[in-house]
Amino acid sequence: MPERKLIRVVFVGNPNCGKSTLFNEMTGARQHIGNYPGVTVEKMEGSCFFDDYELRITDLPGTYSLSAFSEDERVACDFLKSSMESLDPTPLVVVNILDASNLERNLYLTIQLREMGTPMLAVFNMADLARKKGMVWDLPQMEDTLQFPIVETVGTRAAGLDELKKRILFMAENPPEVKKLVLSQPDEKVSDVEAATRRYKYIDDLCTHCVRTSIPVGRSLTDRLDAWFLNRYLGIPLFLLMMYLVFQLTFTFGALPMEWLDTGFGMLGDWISSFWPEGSESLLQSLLVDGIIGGVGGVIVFLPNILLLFLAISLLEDSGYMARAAFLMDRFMRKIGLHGKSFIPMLIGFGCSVPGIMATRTLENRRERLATMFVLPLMSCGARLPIYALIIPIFFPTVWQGPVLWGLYLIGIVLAVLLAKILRGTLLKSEATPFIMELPPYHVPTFRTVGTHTLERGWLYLRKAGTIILAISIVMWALTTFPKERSYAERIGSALEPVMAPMGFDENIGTALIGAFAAKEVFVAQMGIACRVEDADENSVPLREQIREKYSPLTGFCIMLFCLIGTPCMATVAVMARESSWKWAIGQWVALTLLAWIVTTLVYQIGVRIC
Amino acid sequence: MSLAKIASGQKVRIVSMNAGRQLTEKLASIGIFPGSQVEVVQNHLHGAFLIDCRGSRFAIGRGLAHIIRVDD
Repeated sequence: MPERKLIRVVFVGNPNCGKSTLFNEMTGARQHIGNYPGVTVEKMEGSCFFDDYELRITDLPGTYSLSAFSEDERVACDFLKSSMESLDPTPLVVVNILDASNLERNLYLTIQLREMGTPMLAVFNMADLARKKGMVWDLPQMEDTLQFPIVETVGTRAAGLDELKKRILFMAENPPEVKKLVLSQPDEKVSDVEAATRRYKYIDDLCTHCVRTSIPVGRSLTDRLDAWFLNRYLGIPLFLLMMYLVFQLTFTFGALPMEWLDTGFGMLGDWISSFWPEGSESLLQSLLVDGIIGGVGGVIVFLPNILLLFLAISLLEDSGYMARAAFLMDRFMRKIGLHGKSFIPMLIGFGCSVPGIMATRTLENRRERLATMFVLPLMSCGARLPIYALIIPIFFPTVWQGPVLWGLYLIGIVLAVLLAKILRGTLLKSEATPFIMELPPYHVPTFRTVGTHTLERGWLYLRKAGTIILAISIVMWALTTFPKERSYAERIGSALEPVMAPMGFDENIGTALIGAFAAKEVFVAQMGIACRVEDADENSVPLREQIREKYSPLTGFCIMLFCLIGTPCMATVAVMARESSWKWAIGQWVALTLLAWIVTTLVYQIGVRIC
Repeated sequence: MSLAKIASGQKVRIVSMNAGRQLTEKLASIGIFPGSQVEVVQNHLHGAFLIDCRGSRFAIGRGLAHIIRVDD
């Protein structure tokens, strides 16, 4: 089979222009998420095969302009520039995707691309919405004036895609001579406002000549919905209702799949054990069953929960509601020195801190962003659920279980609020960024878009499981198994006793917490191993019984408290370091752990006296 | 007068903005800059401040509304 000819394609356009939908339609399953070198931002890359060509497409984050100020806009801009300046002989075609129903605003970026001399073609996406608005354009004249081809598409119906592919091919084979659009003389010193004014004048002229709107726009569905969602009195209650639904979805629907996975891993463990005779002391068996399946299985069991949370968040984002939620939260966020846009990363943080921290890249102010990232681990993440799930049923009767769980979440939130306020009042002082957020029209989310966004974030969690947690599970297994009589882990646990004692923790807990540093989920497995080791004769006694016998409800609560607040897992530290610096990442770890120690010690010491 | 004082339903034109370079460019890229027409969709004291500008809808903070000066 002959080698396919390669074409580099870059998708660039405003946020909310339907870029990602087009990307998904063209690349289907052949896409993957990567990282830009140096900066951690999700890069969507995929391939599309057409004729005997391969179109290697990079979907850049949405950006309004090329003089970019938030992290993801900067990334888009840099990537574009480096692609254009690269010495790679593979043909490059830049595809500027526009929301045709919003032409004027979208053209701003287009004009900047023309000023840069980019070899491009444009896509008028959402052409159906534009028609409904009564817009009509003179395509040939626009193509002539702007000097690039224009293709109409409707991403959600996959219409116009073949035409787009053909045009890309044509451009790759016949690279045009691109003349830069010049709006100011080279020696003219033009202020930013003046430059923007000229661009808009150009756009206004263009649209006056080539675009007509015949039907006046009336009150749309979006307006009617916003009358409720942004209502002075109903806005917040409706928002709280939404949040309640999100968490209900996560915990209620996630419960059943979780049981299946739990049972499944149990069965897997038994099946593997069956290869060795009863009561065997095989190291390999122990490694596989206790170390790997115990460690990694504990993580995967919570995947349904986390995916459901991300699914709910995607639905809210893609329908357009999230922008309204961020706006509603802005008032409260400002009181603690954060931004309305800080809200969404924190919501994601309830699933996993890793995608949560990465989601803060939309915050333009560096200090607001740092403060948000710093307190994010206090949003009780999915990895702590195994710990809560283990301990709560042991010490609390059924009626109390729900409230205790919610109480823990609430404590995390309250501490985050306090810490953010302190940070923004001291180390991270700065002017608050003015709040401005585009409210896209509401629309029904498509399966594909929601699915992709959910998997994007879920994949990060799963990858963490497959790599860090697997490695740590093995390391922890080794630490607790060697040497036979008194393992390394026990020694470390003993050494930490003076620090653990004020919180009411003994060696076993201390040992388990060491594992939890690497990844929270490991705590449960480690408790299992630590307890089993001590009571080698009573192997049949389930872990829960052991804990109930050895520890008090107060200690149980303290364990959960400590895990909630302190020792952010390795993955969090790593992402924090990449998104800010090692200084901040380590500082965060130390600060949160110290806070955890102080709070837990206080709670324990007071609790012991009053109980 | 400042945009913050304009009532719901009114259309005004931006005259000037008391903003730094970064903010100015950011606003310009979404169509908000001197010369642009803005329609105030909603202006309640403790509610959202919504505007329409160049075909898009935005929710803006009150602080921002204050630094944008418009004519009637």
